[in-house]
Amino acid sequence: MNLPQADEVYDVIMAVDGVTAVYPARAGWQNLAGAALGAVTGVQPPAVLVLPAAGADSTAAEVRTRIGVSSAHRAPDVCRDVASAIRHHCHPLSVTVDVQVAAISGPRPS
Amino acid sequence: MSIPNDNLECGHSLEGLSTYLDTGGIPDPQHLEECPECQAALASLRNLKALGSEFLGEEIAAAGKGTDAWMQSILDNLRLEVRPGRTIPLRSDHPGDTLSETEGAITALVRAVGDALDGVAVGKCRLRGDITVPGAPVTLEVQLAVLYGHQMIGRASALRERLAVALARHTELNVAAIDLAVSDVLQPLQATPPTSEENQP
Repeated sequence: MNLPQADEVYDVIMAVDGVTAVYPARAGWQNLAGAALGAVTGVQPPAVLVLPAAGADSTAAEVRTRIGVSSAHRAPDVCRDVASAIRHHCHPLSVTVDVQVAAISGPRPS
Repeated sequence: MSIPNDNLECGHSLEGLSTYLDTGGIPDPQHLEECPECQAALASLRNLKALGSEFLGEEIAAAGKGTDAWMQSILDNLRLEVRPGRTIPLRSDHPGDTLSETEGAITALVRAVGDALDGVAVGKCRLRGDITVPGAPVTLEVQLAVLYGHQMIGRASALRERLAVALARHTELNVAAIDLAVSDVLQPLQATPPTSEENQP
């Protein structure tokens, strides 16, 4: 079974109500290295990481992403909705999902 | 405005981002669309620049300080606050999933809520307590400046109420207290008394 394509998962995440952005799912020092590599090669790191699950066969995967959320939506709910949407998209593949809210922006909370 | 030159985790500096606001020039503009820390810093720098041009210059002139120490302290705090910081867990519907928020996202939210309230400028905000443990009691500490002419207690009460709503809506933190301290009063130009030199013929 093939792993889902990162760009497809990106579109799935962006389609979730309340998601304003998908940020590269890497730590800072890795971003620096990735940015330097991208400047040289023209290839940017993916915003969504889709990895085969450690120690598992090809029926399991891990998806990592960082998102921005509109303050018009409850950030924890949006985070759970994103995890659910990723799982639905990857079905019947077994996935574990790591979603981190990195920014909350947009209309001010009333 | 003099900006500290310490870099954020992505490698950019507040100084570089401030220059970008002034000139529109930055080596990798695409990065700004991909970096939540830079976006939070830019939002705060925009607000500080507006605040500085409207109030702070006059406040400094009236005080005769010749420095922007108040602004510097805000920038020093901002450099810390826009970093991702600790990871705040969120409840997940599926075992094995890891859902979370960054501490930087929440402090940026706090700052945005404060900056959106008339008469208030947020100087420093900190989440005290073990935010990495679900249910652990957490205290939000905020230092703020109130603009001259606004009631301190009224502004502080309004801010506390808005922060409580925002934290309840956007986090699953057990917020035990929101401690506010008014550390400065900023004086607008209209309230600045003329200097002795200006009074001379």
